[in-house]
Amino acid sequence: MDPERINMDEDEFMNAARLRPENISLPGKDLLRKTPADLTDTHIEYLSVASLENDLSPEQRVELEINLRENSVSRAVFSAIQKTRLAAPSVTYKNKSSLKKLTAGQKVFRIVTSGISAAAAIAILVVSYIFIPDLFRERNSQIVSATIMENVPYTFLIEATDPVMRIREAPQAEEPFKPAKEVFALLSSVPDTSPEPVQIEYQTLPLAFIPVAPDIRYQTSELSLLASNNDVPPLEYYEERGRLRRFIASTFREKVLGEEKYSDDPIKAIDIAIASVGGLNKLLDWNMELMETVDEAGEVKSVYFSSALLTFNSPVRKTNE
Amino acid sequence: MTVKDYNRAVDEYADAVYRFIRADLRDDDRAHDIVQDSFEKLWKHVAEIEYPVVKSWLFSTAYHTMIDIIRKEKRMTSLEETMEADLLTDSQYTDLNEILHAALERLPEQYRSVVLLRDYEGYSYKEIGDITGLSEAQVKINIYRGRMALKNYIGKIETVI
Repeated sequence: MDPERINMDEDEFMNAARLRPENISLPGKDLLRKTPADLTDTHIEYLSVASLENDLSPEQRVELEINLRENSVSRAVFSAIQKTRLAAPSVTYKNKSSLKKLTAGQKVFRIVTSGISAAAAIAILVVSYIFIPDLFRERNSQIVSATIMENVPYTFLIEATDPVMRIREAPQAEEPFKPAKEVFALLSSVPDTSPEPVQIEYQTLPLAFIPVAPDIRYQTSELSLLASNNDVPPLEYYEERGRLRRFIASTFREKVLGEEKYSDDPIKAIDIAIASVGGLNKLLDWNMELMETVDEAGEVKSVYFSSALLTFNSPVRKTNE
Repeated sequence: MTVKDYNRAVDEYADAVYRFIRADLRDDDRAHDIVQDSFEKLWKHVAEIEYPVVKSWLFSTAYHTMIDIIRKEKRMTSLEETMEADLLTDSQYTDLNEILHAALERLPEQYRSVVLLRDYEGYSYKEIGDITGLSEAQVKINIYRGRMALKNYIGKIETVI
């Protein structure tokens, strides 16, 4: 039998077997119809959000607008939803510079400029030290006084390392041999080639002003009061660092250590170490930390250091001096 | 991506990522850490990532880091819990944007993030989906729910005021 003929017969059979719907319509179908005015609150909320997000089709927009024209409650909902758009605050990320990376060229440039700057600074210091030595000389002086008994010779044995001390000038005493009359002798640090201790005798001076060290033992790198035949209590301490040293200290504290309060206090080794660690961090993108921890009294308790390889917290020993 | 591109990304996107995380997490220090961490990760993958996708990469990385933190701290809260809280104590707000941000803090995280990305950065549903790992439909519904929660909050505050 012809296969095409067989297929045709099957198609006719299937058509004949297919169910056909009755040609009727739902009574009252129009009652199901809706207008934009019939949109529920939920619809309005959804469409209002979509409107805010600019996500409405043109048809939806028209229907929403029709509803809003006719329904005050919908308008209130729409209006409230339009207010929910957030405005971004104007905040910025403070540590942006720490996120940045240096290119190879920038790294080389930074190392070279740092090296040149350091060399220039050292050169300036050396030249200044050679040609303007007064700027660097530290003159620590402490006034001591003593009242002498009449006609009792006064002897101070003073040792100085560099320079050796000697009497510079002693103003004339008006009445040198009477007690309680003040006359002055000033010891000044002047260079001397003699490394030996110098013995100075005051036979005529009721009150002597002697420069000694700031600490109570009268120790400095410049001189030591070794002995005296009289009690010599310290009265005042004057620090007379050179202007350049104070300037360097204040600049270092302000620019390198980033201290906000002005100070020209002498720079300690820990200050230099902290600054060095910060410099290395910036230069090489390391993440080391060095800091002092202090107790309630404000005294340094320990030194804390951390890096990728090593972390320690070293307590600071106190001495009785 | 080159080092130059990376630094450009820092200039252009660090603020935006920080703003987004800060608003979402409500913690300055953590936001700083997350931004730092995201850029560290970017730096590790700098050779693999092309500049055009770096913004969404950063937002996505920061977002997932933040979600990890939130999950660890079990700070995921339900809408019901949050919207009930402290309504009457918030009547000191004078500016609508302040009120909205106060309301934002009370939104569950999944709504807060999508609303922030939408409003702060103007991301599309698809872009927000790429960042958060949600489908577009989920993004859309979360934005809708977030907006409704904000709207309800505003309504209650206005009633109180």
